[in-house]
Amino acid sequence: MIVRTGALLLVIATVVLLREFAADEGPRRTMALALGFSLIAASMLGEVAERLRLPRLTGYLAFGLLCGPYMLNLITADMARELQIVNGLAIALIALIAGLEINLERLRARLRAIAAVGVVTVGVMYLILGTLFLIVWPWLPIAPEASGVERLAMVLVLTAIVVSFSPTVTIAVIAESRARGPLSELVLAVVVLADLFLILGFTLVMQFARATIGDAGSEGAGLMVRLSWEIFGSLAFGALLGALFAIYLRTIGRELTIALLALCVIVTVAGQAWHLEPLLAALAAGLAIENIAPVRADALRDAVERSALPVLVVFFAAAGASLHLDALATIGVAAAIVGGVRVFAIRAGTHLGLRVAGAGDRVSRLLWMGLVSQAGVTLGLAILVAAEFSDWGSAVQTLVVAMIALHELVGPILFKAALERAGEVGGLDHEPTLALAQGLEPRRPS
Amino acid sequence: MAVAVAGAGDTPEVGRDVLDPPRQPSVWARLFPARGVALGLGASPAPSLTFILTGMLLGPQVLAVVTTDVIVRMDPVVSIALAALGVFVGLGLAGGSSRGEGRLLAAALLEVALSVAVVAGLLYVLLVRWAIPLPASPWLFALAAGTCAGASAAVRARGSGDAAPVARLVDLDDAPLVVLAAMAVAIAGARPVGHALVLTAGAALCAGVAGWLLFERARSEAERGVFVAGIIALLGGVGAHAGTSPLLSGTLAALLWAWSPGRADPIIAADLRKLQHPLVALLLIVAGASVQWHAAVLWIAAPLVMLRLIGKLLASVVAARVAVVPTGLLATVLLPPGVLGVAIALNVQQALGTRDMLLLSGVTVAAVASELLTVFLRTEEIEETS
Repeated sequence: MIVRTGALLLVIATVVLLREFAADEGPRRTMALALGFSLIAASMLGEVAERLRLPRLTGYLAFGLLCGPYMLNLITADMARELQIVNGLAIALIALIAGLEINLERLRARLRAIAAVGVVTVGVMYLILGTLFLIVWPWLPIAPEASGVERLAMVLVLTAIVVSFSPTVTIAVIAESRARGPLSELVLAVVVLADLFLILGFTLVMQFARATIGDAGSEGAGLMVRLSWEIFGSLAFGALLGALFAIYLRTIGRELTIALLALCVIVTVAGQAWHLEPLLAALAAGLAIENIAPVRADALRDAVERSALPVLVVFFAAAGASLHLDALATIGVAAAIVGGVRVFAIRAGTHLGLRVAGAGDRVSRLLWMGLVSQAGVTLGLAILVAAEFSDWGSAVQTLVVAMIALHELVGPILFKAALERAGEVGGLDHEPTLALAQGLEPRRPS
Repeated sequence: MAVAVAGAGDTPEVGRDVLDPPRQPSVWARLFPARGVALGLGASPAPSLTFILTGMLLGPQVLAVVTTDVIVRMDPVVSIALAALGVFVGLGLAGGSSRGEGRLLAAALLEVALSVAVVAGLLYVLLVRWAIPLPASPWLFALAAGTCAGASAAVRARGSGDAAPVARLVDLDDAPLVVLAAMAVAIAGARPVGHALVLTAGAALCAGVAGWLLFERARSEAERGVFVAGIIALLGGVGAHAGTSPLLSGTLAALLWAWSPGRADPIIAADLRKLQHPLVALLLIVAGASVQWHAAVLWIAAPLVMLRLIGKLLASVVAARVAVVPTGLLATVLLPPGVLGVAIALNVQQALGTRDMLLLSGVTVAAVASELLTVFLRTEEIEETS
C-alpha cells in the first residue's frame, strides 16, 4: 500500500511539475495528461472504496470530485470537458456489455413479471412525485408563478425527468462487482425497460408542454416519426451491427479489442449523424451477438476485459469532475428533499409492482436499492428541456443536476449493498461461462 | 547470413514482422486479397500502405468520414500512440547484446547523421530555390523532413551471423531520431529547447518511476492494464504538455524500466503488444486522413523519396564499414521507411499548429512511395539472404 501511495504521489508530482513549469497548452494538448492521471489515481481510489465495501465506481467518482474544478482543480473545468469525449464510447461499450448480459432464453419465463414490475413502479413513482410537485410547486425554485395548465405541463415534464433511472450506472455496478444472479438481472431489465418507456413518455409530455407553454404543436406527427426512428431505428441499426460483428467473430475473429472499440465508435458516430440513440443501438447489438449468433466467448471476454475497465474508470472520473457542486450548494436542500421522496416512491412502486407480479421473494425485495442511481439519461432529458424552455427549463436543469450529484453518489452504494445482501457479488467468478466479466478477472487468492 | 522477416501467424511485435512480412511483389499480390490482410489485420508486405491509404480514403478530401474536426480531436490519442511508439523504441534500444555494442552505436549515429544531413541539406537548397510557401521556416521544415526520412522500419533478426548486428543497428538508430524529433517539435512550438527537454526528461522519469512501482504490484491483469494505459497516457501528456515529443518521454521511461531491477520492461512490452496494432493503425490512418492534396505536396514528396534513397544508400556504405556488416544487407534493411518517420511528421505538424499540412502530407506520401519502391528494389536480396 505504501509503495502504491508513493507511485500515486509521483503521478501527482508529474502533473504538478508540468502545470508549474510548462506553458499553458490549452485543454486538448493537456487531455492525455488528464487521462493518464485519472486512470491511475481514480483506479487507486476505486480500490480504496472497495476496501471500504463501497463500489469501485464510487472511488472513481470521488476522485473526480476531489481533483475536479470545484476542489483541488488538478483537473480543470476544460480538462474535465475534454475527458468527456470518452462518454460516447463509454456509453456504447456499457450498453453493449448490458446487451451481452441479457439472454432472452433465460429471461423468457420472467419477462411478464419484469414488465409488470417496471410498469407499476414507474406508474407509482409518476403518481407520487407528480402529486408532490403539484403541491409544493410554489416553493420549488423553478417557476412558482406558473399556474393552471402551464403548471401541470411543467410538473409533468419535471416528473418524467426525475423518475428516470441510470442504465449506465446500473450496468457499471454489476460489472465491477462481477455480480450474477436474479437481482442483477431483474434490476438491469427493469431499468432498461423503464427508461425505454420513460423516453417515450417524456416525448409525449414535452409535446404537451410545447402546446400549452411554448411553440404550440409545432412538430405534431413529425415528433412521433422522429421518436419512432430514434427508438426502432436505433434497435434495428444496433441489431444489424451486432449481426455483422457476430459474422466478424466467426470468420475473422482477430484483433477483437480494436473491432470492439470500432463497433462502439460506429454506434456513437452514427448516433450523432443519424439521430439514433447510441445506448439503444449498442444494447441491441449486444443482444444480437448474445442471442442470435454463437460467440467465441473466451476471445470476446478477453477483448471486453481489455477495453472496458479503463473506459469505465475514465468515464466515472470525468463524471465526478463534472458534478456541479455549485448547483448542489445553491439548491441542495430542495434536491435532497425531492431525492428523498423519489427513493420513497421507488420503494413503494417496487413493493406494489412485485406484489402485482407475484414475485415478492427476499431477493426481489431488494430491487428498489438498484433503482436509485441517476446519470446520463436524466441529464440528457434535462438539457433538452433547458434548450427548449430557457427560463424555467434552466431552473429544472439546475435542480436535476443537483439531484444527479446526490443520486450518482448514493445510488451505486445502495445497489452494491443490495447485491451483497443478495449474495450475488462475485457471482461471475464462480461461473466462467459466456457471461462477460466486464473488465475484472477473478481475484487471485491473496 | 539471414535477416528473416516474419510472415502472418508470427507473434506480433513492433517492427517488420507485423508491419513488413516478405516483400516479394508476387507474395504481396497473393496475400493482399486474403481476409485479414486486406483489412489490415493480418501481416502484409507493407501494411503502412494499407492504413495510410485507408486514411486518405476516409479523410476530409475524399469520403470525409474522418473530418478535420475529428482529426483535431484525435490529438490526445495521437500523443498517447506516440508515447507507446517511444516505449517500443526505448525497449528496442535497451535490449542489445554486448558484442560490439559501442561500434554499432557509432555506426548507427553515423548512419542517422549522414542520411538526415543529406536529406535535410539538399531539401533545404531545393526549398529555398523553389520558394514553395511553407508552414515553417525552410531550415526547420528541411530538418523535420530529414529527421522523418532518417527512420527505417525495425527488423527482427532470426538466425545468426550478420543479421543480429544489422537488426541491432536499426534499433539503435531510432534514438538520435527521437531526440532530433523532440528538438524539432520544441522549435516548431517556439519553446526554449533546453528547458523543454529538461522538463520532458524530469516529468518522464517521474512517470516512469511511478510505472515501475505499479506494474509489478497490480492485483489483477485488468488493473495492470489500467496502470499501463495510465502511464502511457501520462507519458503522452508529458511530451505534449512540455512542448517536446511524446516519443522522447516514452523512450526515456522505457530505458528506465529496462535498466531498473524488476520486470517492468517485459510487463510493459507484453501489455503494449496488445495495443500496438490499434495504435499504429490509428497513427497511420490519422496521417493518411491529414494528407492535403495539392501540387506542393508532390514537390516535397518526390525529392524526399529520391533524397532518402540516396541518403540511406550513402549512409549504408559508411555505416557498414564501421559496423563491419555487409553493405548490401544493411542497405536493404534500412530502405523501408516504417512508421516512425510518419509519426515524427505527425508530431511536428501538431506542434506547428497550422492548417497547412504540407510537412505531414509530403512525408506521408513519400513514405508510401518509399514503401512501394522498397518492395520492388530489394526482393531478390531478401530471398538470397533468408
